[in-house]
Amino acid sequence: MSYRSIRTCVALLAIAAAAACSKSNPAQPSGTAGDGGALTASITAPRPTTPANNLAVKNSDQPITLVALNAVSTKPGVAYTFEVATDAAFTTKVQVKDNVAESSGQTSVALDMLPAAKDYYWHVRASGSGTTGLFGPTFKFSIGPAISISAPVPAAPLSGASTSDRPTFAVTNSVKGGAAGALTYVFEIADNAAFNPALIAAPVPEGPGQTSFAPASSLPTAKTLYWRATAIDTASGTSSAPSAVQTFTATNPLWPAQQPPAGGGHAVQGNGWDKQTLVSFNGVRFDSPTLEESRIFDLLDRGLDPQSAIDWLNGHGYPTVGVWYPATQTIGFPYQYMALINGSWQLVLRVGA
Amino acid sequence: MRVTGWRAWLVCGIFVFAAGVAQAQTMPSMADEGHGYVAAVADAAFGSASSQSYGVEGGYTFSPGLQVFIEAGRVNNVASSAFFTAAQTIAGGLGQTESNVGFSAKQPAGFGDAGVRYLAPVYSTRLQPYAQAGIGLARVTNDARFRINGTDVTGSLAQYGVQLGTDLSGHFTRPLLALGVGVTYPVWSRVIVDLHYRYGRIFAPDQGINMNRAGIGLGVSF
Repeated sequence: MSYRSIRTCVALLAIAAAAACSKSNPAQPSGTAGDGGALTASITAPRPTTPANNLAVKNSDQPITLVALNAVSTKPGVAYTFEVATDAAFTTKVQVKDNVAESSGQTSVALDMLPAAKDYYWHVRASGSGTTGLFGPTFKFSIGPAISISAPVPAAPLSGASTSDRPTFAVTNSVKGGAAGALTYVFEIADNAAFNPALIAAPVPEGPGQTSFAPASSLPTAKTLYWRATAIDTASGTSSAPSAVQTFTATNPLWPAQQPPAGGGHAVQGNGWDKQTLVSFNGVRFDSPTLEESRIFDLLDRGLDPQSAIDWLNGHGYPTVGVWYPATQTIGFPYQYMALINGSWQLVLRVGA
Repeated sequence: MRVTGWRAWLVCGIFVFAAGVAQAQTMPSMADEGHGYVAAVADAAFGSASSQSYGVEGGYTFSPGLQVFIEAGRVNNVASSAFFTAAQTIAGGLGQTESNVGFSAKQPAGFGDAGVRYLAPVYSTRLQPYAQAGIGLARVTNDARFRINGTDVTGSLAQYGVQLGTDLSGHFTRPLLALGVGVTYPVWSRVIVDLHYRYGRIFAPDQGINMNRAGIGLGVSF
């Protein structure tokens, strides 16, 4: 075999080798050949989740946190870019949060404050291992108008006050700014300065000039209580700052000074105990039941017998003119008497002197 | 000149046929100095993926018991497990928003290498065992394809938010180390049959690719 033949064979083999190596590639969707360095990652677009598309956000809920379901990447080390714009084409970007580290499952970023009363569009993309991913779907949210509400000013009771066990709480109304609508005031009463928990949290519609609230049940007595009020624009959900916290002490109107012995549940009220204004046999108008009648019944309820109840009142700074008549099982007062009838105490208006 | 697809194999076939006809003479020992061979090979390829391989090779004896050889061929799929996993990952990502997502992951590779073949001395037999080693280049194409509801969407993945990197698209050319053993047998005149095993290591980016081939070659000696 000649060298010419050998050269021919080698040349043909070279041609065949070139043919084998140069077979055309299938269409490539993206990317370039990785002839140098490490291969770059393939990445899917992250998907926006929060705020949901077309959500209306109260201005007071700012700053907004954007949350996206993580992208899927063939390599670790993915970071995210969040873009917020005032147009769907993202020609006017108002905030770009770049290089946000990936969290487990979802990745989020807190935006800076955005101007109120505007629509915003946002999307997010993932990048890493040499590949800049594509932006996912565009979501839109709207921020409501700016509303300002000053804190209500406490009017009563002010700090240090001693009140009944059902005092009326009052605040001077808040000053509204922007597009605030009708306000509701939430009165909170607690036995701790943190209001956690609160004993009462009652919403009250705004009144003219002042707004007030009277609890429907008695407050704890003989201890320091705290109260505050917060104004809320229910339409926008905007809240004022809470009013300055006031402290007070509630007292039982029956026993503002000395407290009677503990106990209860022994006496039963019969007829005549409804609150009412009556006229005595000699023409005197008075509120029934009177304070001392109520006190005596309370002591009876605490387990004292009628004479002991009268004695306790007279001996502890609550003088009474009540007289116990054991023979008739009655306690007499100037215009009424309490009668024990069939196990219950009835309050009866006297018809003569 | 760019020869592609079936044309490549046609060139190889013509080459083998022409060489056989032109050089048809009495059969010499393949170990004889100054003689060589050309052959077409067909292999089963295996490793992470199973496929087929085709190619041509030729050699020339430059010293007793030693030949230089050159070979070129194509393996239909050398896809590594990493390549398959990457394609599966992206298909999973697509599946988060689309239903009925499918994918295929292939890495066809064309290669060429040259080296030295050692012909083991034999006595009283026409079987000729050999071992060889060579180096060359391999060009690997990343052919990951994705389907949604049976439609190939690989060319429009952007609308699904997918950006393929070079780990799943494009191609790369990398050095190849080729080792092999085999045995040749002259079946008729100058026609030889070659039973062989070849191991190739493609020094691919990130992770090397093993390329195993076992098959038969049919050629002529001269």
